[in-house]
Formats: sequence, C-alpha cells, structure tokens
Amino acid sequence: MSFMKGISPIRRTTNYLNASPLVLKRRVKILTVNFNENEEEEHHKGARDFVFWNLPQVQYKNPNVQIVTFRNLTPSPFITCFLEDNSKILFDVDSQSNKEIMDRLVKTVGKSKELLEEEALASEAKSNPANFCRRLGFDRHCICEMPGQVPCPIMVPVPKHWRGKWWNQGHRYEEE
Amino acid sequence: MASLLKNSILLGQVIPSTLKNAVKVQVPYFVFDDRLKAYFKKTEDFVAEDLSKSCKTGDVVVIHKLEHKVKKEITHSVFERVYKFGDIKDPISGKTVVSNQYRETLDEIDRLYGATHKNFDYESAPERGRLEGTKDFTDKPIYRKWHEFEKDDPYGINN
Repeated sequence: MSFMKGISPIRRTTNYLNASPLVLKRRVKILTVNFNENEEEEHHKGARDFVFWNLPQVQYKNPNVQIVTFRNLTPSPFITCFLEDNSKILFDVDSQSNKEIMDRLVKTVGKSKELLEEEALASEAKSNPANFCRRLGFDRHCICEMPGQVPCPIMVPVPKHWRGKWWNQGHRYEEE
Repeated sequence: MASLLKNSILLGQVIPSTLKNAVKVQVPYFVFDDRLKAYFKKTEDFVAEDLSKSCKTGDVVVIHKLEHKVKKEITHSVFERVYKFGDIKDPISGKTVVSNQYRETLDEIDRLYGATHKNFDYESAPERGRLEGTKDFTDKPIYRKWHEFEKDDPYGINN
C-alpha cells in the first residue's frame, strides 16, 4: 500500500474494494442507509460500521446505483432499496453487526454466486485478445504493427497494383 | 458526468428555487478518484415537475425521468416524497420522530416533569408553509443585497 494516509487506508485498495460479495440485482437503483453517529447509540454500531467499511465496496461493485446516507434522522437504523418498478424494500438493521447486514443484503437483493461466476465467464469470452482496435480496449491498433505483415501505408506506400483504386480505374490495361 | 445520473429513478432533496410549477432537486452521488481510490461526493441539480404541488424546500423526494419533455428544462417528475421536512416519520414504526427520539417520548418526558400544556401542539397546528414569505424565507433562494430600495425584499440580506 503506498500513499496510504487517513483512517483505515486499507479501504482504499483495489483488492479490498473488489472483495465485496454484494453485487446488487439490476432492478435496485437507489440504496439508502439511515443511521446515527452518536457513539453511545450501540444499536446503530452495525450500521455505522457498514457505512465505514462496506459502503465503498458496494459502490465500487455497483457504479450505477445511487447510494445515499442519512445521519441522525430517526431513532432506529435501517436500509432502504428503491427498485425500478417503484417499490421499496426496507431492512431494519437495529443491533445487527455489519457482517450480518452484508449477508442479509446479499441474500435478498444481491446476485447469487453462481450468477456472478457465469457473468465473469461471459465477460472473459468477450475480451478476445486476438481482436484489434485500441479505441475499443484491445492491445493492438492494427495488423500493420505486427512483424511479417504489410507495413502501415503511412510509412511505406502500398504497391500501386495492389490498390483497388488503381485496379478499378483501368490502369491494369495500360501498356507500361 | 456519472452514468448514474442517467438512471430512470433518482433520490434527492428539494432546494429553494423561484420556479412556479416545478421544484429543483439536488441529487448527491459519489465519484471515484482513480489515484486516491476513494469516493468523493458531488451533487447535481435537476428540475422536476411536481404534479401534486405538495413538495416544499428540504423534502427528500424520489424523481422519475420523463420520457417526453414538454419543456426543455423540466427533465424529471416527482414520484414520491420520502421524508417531509420537519415531520419525519420513522418507516419502521410509523411514528413522527425528532432526530433520535420519538415525539411521543418527548411529550411523555414533559408530562412526567409536570408540564401543564404542550410546548407546541403538532396535532392541532396548521400545515407547515403558513409563514412562507412572512417569517419563513427558505422557499426561494437568498442573495446579498447592495442597495436599499423603497420596497424591501426579505430574500435579500445585508452582509
């Protein structure tokens, strides 16, 4: 870990951020956490820990979900999930530890392990390293950069009789 | 800008605005800084049409993206008011709440201390918004004023 300043900087490592099992189902669009910051309110401790340790992980795995926290609004802590079809799921997390909260969320609104493995396989198949085009994320921009192939016409002009333009304009019938 | 803002539903807080038939909603979202590997909060304002006309400044609302825009600026419409400003209801118990106490508990404490009448009777009081423009200046945005006109605008502040 380098440049690790601040409280618990392990939260700011890619390994840690990727380690969350919670990938929300596609219909969950907004996740709201309500909790209180006062240290004396022990029943909020789990929710507080969830926000401190696990919320960055959840947002990293779900970049298109809006995550909002509300502090010191109500006496009891809870989590609300707003779905695409305008319904809400309310989780009462009073006196639950952050691990329990995480497990509960994975069980109800998270994609299952099998589904995640399937998706991982599908995404691997898409990124075929044999493809070209750096703009689309592949390694090589054109076949002209491979040794043994025709060099880029920017550097070395292509022989005239290989060009479609020359061929179709009738130059092939000309006597040299 | 974050692709999150293109979602069909968003959650935000109503902010003061001078719009007549719509509300301005401030939506908070997190942006990931690649080098620091941390999330930083940013906000984006949207103009949403309020069909029921019941949303006031400070309310937390859920807005839906409009498929066909009647006006170019009004991009969303208010779907649901999650928390009413000042009269927040705890969704688990359904009771009105003040920060970390129920209003019932506060009344009970007052009664046990021997209060003869309640501090402020919320049940019999009229709806909030009665003093807008006279004593409550949170409905429209505030600005600094640099000249004294004959007709004093209460939304302009000296210093």
